[in-house]
Amino acid sequence: MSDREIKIVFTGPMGAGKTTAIRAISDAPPVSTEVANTDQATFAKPTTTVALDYGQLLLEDGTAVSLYGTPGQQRFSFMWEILCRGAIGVVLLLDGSTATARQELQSYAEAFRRIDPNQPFVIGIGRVPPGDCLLDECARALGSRGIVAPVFGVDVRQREDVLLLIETLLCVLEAHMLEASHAAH
Amino acid sequence: MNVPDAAARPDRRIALMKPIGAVDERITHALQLMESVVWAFHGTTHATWRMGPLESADVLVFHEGNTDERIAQWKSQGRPIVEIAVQSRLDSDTPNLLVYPFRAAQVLVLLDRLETQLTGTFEALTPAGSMMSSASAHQDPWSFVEGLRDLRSVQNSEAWLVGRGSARTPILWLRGDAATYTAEPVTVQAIRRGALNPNSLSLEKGLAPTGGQAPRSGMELSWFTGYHASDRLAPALTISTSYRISSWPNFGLIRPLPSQLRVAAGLSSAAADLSAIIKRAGVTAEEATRTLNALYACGVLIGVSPAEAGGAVSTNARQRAGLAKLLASVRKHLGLGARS
Repeated sequence: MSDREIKIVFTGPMGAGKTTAIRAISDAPPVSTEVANTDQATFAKPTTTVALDYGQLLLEDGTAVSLYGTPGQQRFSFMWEILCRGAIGVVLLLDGSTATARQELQSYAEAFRRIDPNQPFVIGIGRVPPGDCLLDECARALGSRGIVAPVFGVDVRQREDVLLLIETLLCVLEAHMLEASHAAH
Repeated sequence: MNVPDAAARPDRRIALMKPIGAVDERITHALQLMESVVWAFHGTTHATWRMGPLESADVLVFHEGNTDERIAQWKSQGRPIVEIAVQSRLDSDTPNLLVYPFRAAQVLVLLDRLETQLTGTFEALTPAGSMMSSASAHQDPWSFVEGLRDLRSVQNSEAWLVGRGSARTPILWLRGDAATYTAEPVTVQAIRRGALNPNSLSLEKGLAPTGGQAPRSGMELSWFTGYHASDRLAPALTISTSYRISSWPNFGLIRPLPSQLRVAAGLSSAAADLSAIIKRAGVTAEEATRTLNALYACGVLIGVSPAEAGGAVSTNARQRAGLAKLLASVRKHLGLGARS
């Protein structure tokens, strides 16, 4: 790897659980730039991230893997590209109980594919009612746009669910790497 | 194979829709092969199959690209069809697809599956109402999985099938489009562990579940019954075909083994045949085979031509070595499954 920063980006709309997901795996409590949420009409929670969340995995060999959470509001979308540039992967989190989940999936997926079409990308959808076909619909919608990305139902309050997303990201990254290795020979 | 006496075997007719005009000569060969195999298997299958006119046929066989309007009419009536293709194309809309050159054994399995379909699933979803299970279904490890694929193609979300165990007690409720199912937690666990043989269940048309169990994704049922069905490839798959996935199953629900995750990731990156995916994912032949079967059962596995199988982004060897080391360190740090 080069000397550039190694990072994984968590993105998604407000209230999808980005801060919670980073907190679940970060070695130290994440640094959050949270303020009182003045947009209660969109999502009723007391605070929201306005710039970014930052967590870190400090590996045995001293390598630091940065965990960034993008701000959820659309008006900060200019930061997505800045944060995602050079990331080893992106975790998109969505709230499946909202009516806008399908639309958000589409706009986020397209935005991140534009930034880097080869960047590993996994999607975790929370609060999906049992028996709901949202996940299948989302996977099919992505497939129709030529995007074969993992779409999993998760609860990011559970560390193992966040680990599943990270492990999937690593497996996709590894598969890209091995395929590239095969192509090179 | 346990085949009923000739007198007990139902008579079935296949209408083979031949091409009109010039077509790819492989299509002509494929249709001739189908006709020959049906003739050769006469008396060895659970029904007596013969070629016949469309008017009296039970099954319609046609080749890909055939636009005859009678095919659409046949499909719209929910009647069994077999499509013959010259390129692998395992989409869920075509449950009975034969890719030329196919093996005679594939036709044998298909004929028995069609018989199950004719006496079981299809009728179970019509007002006549009947059983999905049959003697042949018990012996065919794929009958339940293929039944689920058939149900997905029929898309009857209004109907319910009730699965009964040996004591005739209802233990599983399956919606007619196979999108959801309901069962007691103990049954769900048995399905997930492979401790319940779904081919031993008799599925009958019945009422929707009334208990308090939450509906579960039919994809979960497809995944686990496909994974546990056999340690050999499903009859519709071949070792020489390259496959990729059209979408990922919901692993949030499945809770995959590391080997399953790596096979899925490998097939999402680029198409691979069985031996290539074993190498790419670093898994055993059995793990790769079972995971391919599970992906097939979920209807997300697509066969591709060798020309489509490539498509990697090139990186240099130093980058790859660095990345491999980083991934190993992250996995160790988070306590995730390492590559075997």
